[in-house]
Amino acid sequence: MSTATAPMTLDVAGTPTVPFGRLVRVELRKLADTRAGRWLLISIAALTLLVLIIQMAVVLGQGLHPKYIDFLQGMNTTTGILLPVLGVLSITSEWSQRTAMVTFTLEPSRVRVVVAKLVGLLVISVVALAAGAILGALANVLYGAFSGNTVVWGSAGKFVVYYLLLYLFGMAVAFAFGALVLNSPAGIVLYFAYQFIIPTILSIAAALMSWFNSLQPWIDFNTDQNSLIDGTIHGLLWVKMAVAGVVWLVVPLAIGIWRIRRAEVK
Amino acid sequence: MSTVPGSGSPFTLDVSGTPGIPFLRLFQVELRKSVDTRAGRWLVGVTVGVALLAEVIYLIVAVNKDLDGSYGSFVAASAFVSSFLLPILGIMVVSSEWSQRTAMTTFALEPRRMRIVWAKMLAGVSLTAFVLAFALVVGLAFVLLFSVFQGNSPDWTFGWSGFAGFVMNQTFSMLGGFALAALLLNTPAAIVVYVAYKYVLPGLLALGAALMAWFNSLQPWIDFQAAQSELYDMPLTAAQWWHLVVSGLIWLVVPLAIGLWRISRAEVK
Repeated sequence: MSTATAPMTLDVAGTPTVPFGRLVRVELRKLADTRAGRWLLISIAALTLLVLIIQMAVVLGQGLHPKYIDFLQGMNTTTGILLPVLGVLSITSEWSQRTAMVTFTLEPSRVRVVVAKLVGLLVISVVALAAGAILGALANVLYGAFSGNTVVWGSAGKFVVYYLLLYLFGMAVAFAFGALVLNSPAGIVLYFAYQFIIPTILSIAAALMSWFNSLQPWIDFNTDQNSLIDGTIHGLLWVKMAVAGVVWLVVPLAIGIWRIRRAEVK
Repeated sequence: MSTVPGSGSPFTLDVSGTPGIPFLRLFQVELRKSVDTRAGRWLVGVTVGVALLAEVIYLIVAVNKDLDGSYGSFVAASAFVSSFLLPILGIMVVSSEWSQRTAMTTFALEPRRMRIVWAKMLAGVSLTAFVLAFALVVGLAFVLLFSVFQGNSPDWTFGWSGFAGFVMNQTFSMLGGFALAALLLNTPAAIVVYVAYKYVLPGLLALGAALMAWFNSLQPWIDFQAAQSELYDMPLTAAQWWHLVVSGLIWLVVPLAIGLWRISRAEVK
């Protein structure tokens, strides 16, 4: 009758781990089925459409000659700000909504969760870009039909790749900042400081000091991306952008992931 | 022996003789709440720290490049930083009641919610005054440092009109954040909307004005930030004052009024 000596262990050695595809699906769902995430996605879609309609009205009313990239650029005014917020929230909400305990209990390998979140953001970026590229193409065709002018596409395929990079960079930097501070408001403020305040300071410094002027493209990731927005990036600027990307993307992300691995789950 | 309740002797808690909480105490409590939480303390700390950093950088550059070292330009350097961070302070003063779930306690102790809101607003204004005073004092120190390095006598160019414009701008930006937070009662959402309003909207309005003549004449009436930037060039014309009033009504008074109405009825969770 020695049932007390029988080991009371729960043997999960034969249980397979959570497949990565499932983690990605769960993280994608988390982005869209919370109130904050859903409203953010709805706002992005609605505002982007609104911008496009206004842009169309203005170019037709004023007899302007827009190109395909102009429509992409117009839509980027909203998505460029709001998509990164989703990137911040995707990681910080685990802490602010206190779901981290459940998440990391079900999948104790935290880095897999982080990678699943990043893949989720990648999927959202691709979907957003695909929707934007199609809407922009539609707007361009409609413009041609309404105005009777020839439709200018430029290097449409190249521009789409540029904008994909732009969205991915925005998402990833935002995610890195979120991982760094693990707090939604602080992460958002940090991201906006990076997007709106730091480029101004660096540009002023570059205008004043010639040695800094040649240094700036190597460290100002956000300003470097302007040449993705207007499609003029070329040659050495790619290298400069990559170096600046290490400063603003790779380093914060590495520190952020290190922090997530050790952060207390509250 | 009728200790049984409900038999004539009502078991009511008679507070009719208890005086209400004095407004000054509410104000003190709200002021304390805004700096003794982790978020609030860090925000004020970062505002002061980054402003100081901006001053040091400007001093180094100004000395090396022989730039304008006037009092006004040093104050402007720290104003650039605080105009980004003060609105966030205004936002957190309001929305943290909901995000930190302290609203239950706050409104149970003082059920007249509007008094809390006014106390919060006054606390926000006080912190703005503190940041401004800090900017003025630090600017003073840096003007003196600049004159020592350059060997010139200090240049006090700033003027009362610049000062008035500075104070009004910063107070309006804090109140703008406050109004949006009251409207949304959610810290991240209010920050995002505020940033869109501050950094994206002016560009769009300017673009619209450049393209369309009718919009160009409408823009001054709806662009609160453009109207505020006029404040640095006092005295304003009557038309400029009216631009400020009308655009301020749209971006400050209306969101604030809706926000206050919302706070007065919001469910406390």
